[in-house]
Amino acid sequence: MKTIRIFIASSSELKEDRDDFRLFISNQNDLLHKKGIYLELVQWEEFLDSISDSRLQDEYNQAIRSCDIVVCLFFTKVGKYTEEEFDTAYDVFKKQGRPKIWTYFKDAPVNTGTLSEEVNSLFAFKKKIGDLGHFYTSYTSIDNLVNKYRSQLDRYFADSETGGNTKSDGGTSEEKKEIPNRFNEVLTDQLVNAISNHNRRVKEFLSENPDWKENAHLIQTAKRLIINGYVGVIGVQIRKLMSIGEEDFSESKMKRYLENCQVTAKRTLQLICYALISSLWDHQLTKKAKLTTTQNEVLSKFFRNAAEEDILDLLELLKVLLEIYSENQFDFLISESFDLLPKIETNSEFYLACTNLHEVSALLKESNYSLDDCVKVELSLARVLEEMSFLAEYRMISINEIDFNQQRNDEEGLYLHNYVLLDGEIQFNTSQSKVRRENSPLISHAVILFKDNYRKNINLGPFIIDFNGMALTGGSKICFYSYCNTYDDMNLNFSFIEDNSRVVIRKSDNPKPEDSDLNALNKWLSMKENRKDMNFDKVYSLFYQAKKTLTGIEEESTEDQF
Amino acid sequence: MGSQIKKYPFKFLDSYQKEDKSVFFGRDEEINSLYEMVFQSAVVLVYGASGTGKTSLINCGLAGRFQTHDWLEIMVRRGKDINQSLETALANLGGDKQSVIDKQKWENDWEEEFGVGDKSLTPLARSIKTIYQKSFRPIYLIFDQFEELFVLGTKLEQQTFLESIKGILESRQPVKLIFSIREEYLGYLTEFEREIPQLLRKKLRVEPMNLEKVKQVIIGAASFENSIISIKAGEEDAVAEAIFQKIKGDKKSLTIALPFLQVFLDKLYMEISGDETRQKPAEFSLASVKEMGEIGDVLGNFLEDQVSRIADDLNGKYGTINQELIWKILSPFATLEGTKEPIGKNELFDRLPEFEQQMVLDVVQAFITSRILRYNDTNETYEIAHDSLAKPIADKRSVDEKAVLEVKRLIKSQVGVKEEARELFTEKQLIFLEPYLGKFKLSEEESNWVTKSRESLKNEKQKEAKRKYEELVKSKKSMFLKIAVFVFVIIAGLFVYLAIQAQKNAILAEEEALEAKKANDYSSELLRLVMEGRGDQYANVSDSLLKQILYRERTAPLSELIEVKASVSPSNAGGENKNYTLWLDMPSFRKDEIKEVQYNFCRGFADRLRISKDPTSSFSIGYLGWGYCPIMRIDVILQSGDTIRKEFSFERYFEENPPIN
Repeated sequence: MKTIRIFIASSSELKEDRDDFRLFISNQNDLLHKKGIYLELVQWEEFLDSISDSRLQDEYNQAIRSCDIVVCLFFTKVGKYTEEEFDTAYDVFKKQGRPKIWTYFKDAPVNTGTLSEEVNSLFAFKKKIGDLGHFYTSYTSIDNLVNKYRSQLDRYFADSETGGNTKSDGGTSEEKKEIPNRFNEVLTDQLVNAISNHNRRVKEFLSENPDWKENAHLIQTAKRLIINGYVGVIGVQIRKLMSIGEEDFSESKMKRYLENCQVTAKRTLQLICYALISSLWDHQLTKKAKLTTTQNEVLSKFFRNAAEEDILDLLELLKVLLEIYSENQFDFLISESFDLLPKIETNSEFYLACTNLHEVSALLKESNYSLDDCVKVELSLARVLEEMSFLAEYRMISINEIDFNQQRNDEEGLYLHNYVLLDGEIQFNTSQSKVRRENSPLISHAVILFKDNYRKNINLGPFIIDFNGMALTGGSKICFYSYCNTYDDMNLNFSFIEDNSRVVIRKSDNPKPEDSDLNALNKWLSMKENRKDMNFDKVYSLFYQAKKTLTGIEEESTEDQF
Repeated sequence: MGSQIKKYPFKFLDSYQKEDKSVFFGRDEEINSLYEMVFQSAVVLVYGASGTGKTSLINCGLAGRFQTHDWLEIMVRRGKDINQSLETALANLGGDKQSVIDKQKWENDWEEEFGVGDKSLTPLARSIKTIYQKSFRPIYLIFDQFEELFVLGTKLEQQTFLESIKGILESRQPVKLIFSIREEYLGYLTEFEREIPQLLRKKLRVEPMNLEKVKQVIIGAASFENSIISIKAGEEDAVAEAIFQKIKGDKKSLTIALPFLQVFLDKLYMEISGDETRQKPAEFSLASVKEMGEIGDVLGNFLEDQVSRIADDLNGKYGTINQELIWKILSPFATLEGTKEPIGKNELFDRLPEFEQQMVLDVVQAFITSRILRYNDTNETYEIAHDSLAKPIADKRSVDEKAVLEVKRLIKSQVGVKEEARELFTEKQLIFLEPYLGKFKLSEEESNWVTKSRESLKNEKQKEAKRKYEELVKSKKSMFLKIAVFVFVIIAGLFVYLAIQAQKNAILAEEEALEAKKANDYSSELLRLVMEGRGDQYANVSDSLLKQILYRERTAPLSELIEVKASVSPSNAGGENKNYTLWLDMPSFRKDEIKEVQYNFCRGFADRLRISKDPTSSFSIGYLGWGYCPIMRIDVILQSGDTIRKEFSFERYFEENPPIN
């Protein structure tokens, strides 16, 4: 038999509702006992009578901590005790993720004569819990309350069946460790300051609101500024962290928080590495750099790897790439990244932070993690992102089709660049793809990164691609290169940044007709499916071209083999 | 970990939710397509026939693909008004549109750079923003059973909603919209599509369940770890196939509807385990499925069973209760077309004025317990658990109940339009409405509109009657006299009826009342005047009797009302020739039911079949001559295709009206 302890708090004016509610609970028990569940009511009155004022708070704490659900009913005023009960419950909840607090406001006609000043306490309280982000419900009558409660209770059972956080009768009521919800506090603080040097709006925000940390709304605003201020794809990850941070405490919360901290760091390193590799490829085509054996080995490893590079691999790659650039005096659009080179030394703070993030894999594998790990990993991530805060000056877009429009007597034509801006809320900007008028074309179907000059950009293909852009479906599905089936079918594996699911790019068996056979080619191109195949085949061949240029390794299957 | 609770895997008529992910089978393909679409557009449409599982596909299938931190669903059902429901749903999540919590200028700073003006957000978009910034979870606004907006909503409601959606889409907040609609209502979306072109760009049809998918459902439900259902080893495929065949019956279809499957599976479980709490394990076998016998209409039968059971259960408390009454209480939950209609407690009472309220509540509660009705938390309405149950309920309605519903809808749809654009009820509509007006509550606006329509019609009729009267006076040709008088009588009669009704129903301002009285007096006078011309039987008839006569004229079958009339008058030219006229005597307002009238002459006439299609002349024909048929056969062909056959005897006519020489 499972026992669920319910505490009801309400002001005296709702005594009737409370009694009806109690009746409902005991009726429910008749039904629920078949399911092996017993709802135990922690009585309000007896409770008050039995304790002295001085010990009130302690007693509440004790009682409420042992409850699974606290139900608060309010009508025209919020009694002193009721508010205290709510506060206590809320504090306990913040610390241990329990009890669930269900707040109901009665919405019924009142005789205005009976209203007193106390009604203000109601408004103040509503505002207060609204500010806390606590959701409340209104009810019109006891039937209504009971019906709402019933459905919430059903949901509670469904949740607890999967989560299993109700108490078992046999076990001693072990006290859960108190866990303050301070997720993202450090991350938000450090990042907002770090990117303020690179982002005018954030700077203004900080200078106008030096006390932003005192105001719950401004904290949320700061978080959103970070989400949208950090270069696109990283913002996507930060959004996830911010969201997980807001959740009630649970095992799953810790697990996902750790996972996503690691992914965030990894994506950031990947982004820089891919930008470096992509530019290096351009340099190699014009001015061949001399690579040392080690450098060549690291690059070959990257292109050949049949498993995704982990954080330390990426760090090594980053180091080698930066060395190549500096030794050959190549310039790089994201010039700030050269400052990273000295920081990648073993035992540097940056390196240690990366190591911590790397070790998350082991923690997760053994399911052996605690809140302390979350704190440590958050700090490490903040460190890494801080060092890379210059990325906030860059932005990414996904260029789709480029339309040309020139009509009779126009001196010159317009190039209409269709693109999607990639920021932290990419997924939601996809509905309205934007258009930019230009006087010249640009490489289409590409994810590009740039600072202030749109024309001076790094084309991130084939390492970062917009799958949906290429598939001509509309919307964006940004995928990062992950690994290559070098020892198998040579297919390329990408990772979709929203859910880290694997996206495979293989060479289609739909070859484009030769350029010489114009008729066949035109006919072929007129079919959308063929253009789609062409786009993906291009990703595939670009990857192997880059590999050849940068490592000298030529794959047998880069071209059609017959 | 081993202490996991055993789970009953079927949902009966409820949809699957995110928590049911582990017991949701047979939908992988659709889930994948839907998931992909969500990344391709801000608006996704899911459509399919009733009972294909659209709601479950979204709530369980799609939601299950997202991690907690990537998915915040806001389910919106129309309820009483979709705009209100949307607002409430947002408010419940703390999206208080009143409090502008931020300085707008901190928003997405790329926009300005990229030349998109900083549009001010609509109140709804602001709510969405507030909600998002509480949890940073992307919001999925799901409009389930979207057809309700078109079946039950007014034009104004639709228009307001469309504007809201546009505002949300332009707000660039992290929100996606998913609409789910029954496919037979897809056509209604045309207008929306014009304004929101992406609405139909990404759409998924949810296919009905074929054998292969049904197999996945049944075998899946029996094979997951904590299921209390199992299938006898080796019989998995056969059991699934037998269940499919049973439900399909002898229908030619290759698919079955999910509610049927769920109800059947539940029934099968009950047959085997007999455990109402649904905790005992049960093993399905081919033999147990075969034992179920012919199941026929699973849902209809199930409903009948429940109605009869509830009637028995409540009989102790309410002596008068019987199955018929219970069906009547269910009736408001289904629309005319047999789709479900959510309804609040008070509205339910209004719709069932003749019932004791506590009894209605008890019946509703009993249906909730048996999972036929459910309570809708967000807008405080009750509704049928699934559309597929609405049909049998609608089928149970009497002719009169249906008529009341039609009348309600007529009034609602007309009054639902903004007043500037609203049309008055036509004469025909008013005639249709009047008898039912007492049977349900009208809103003030509705009842005012009815009154206004009556007034306007009355004025028009008055004018027309006057004109006809003057024409009649002027007319010298006696041949048309009786026809003209007849027309006049009918018009005036209707007008009287309306005046009486108006007087009875309306709580008019004094001035208006006086107007009506004057009109009434005037019309009574006219009536008496012309009724005398129509025959002695109308001479001294009281108002109430007139009303009865008119009631009969409105409702009786046409065959009872039509009388063939004739007039014979001396020819202007003199001699033996006479003017013969034949026409139908019947209430003029029912003339539209007639397509044509065929007059069959006897031998000796050149054209033996003469047809009139002219309702304005009461389908009269006339001829000049000296001869007549002793018996005329007259076929009245109705619009419906039926024929009413009448005979007219000139012999008797001349007996009663000896020719004057």
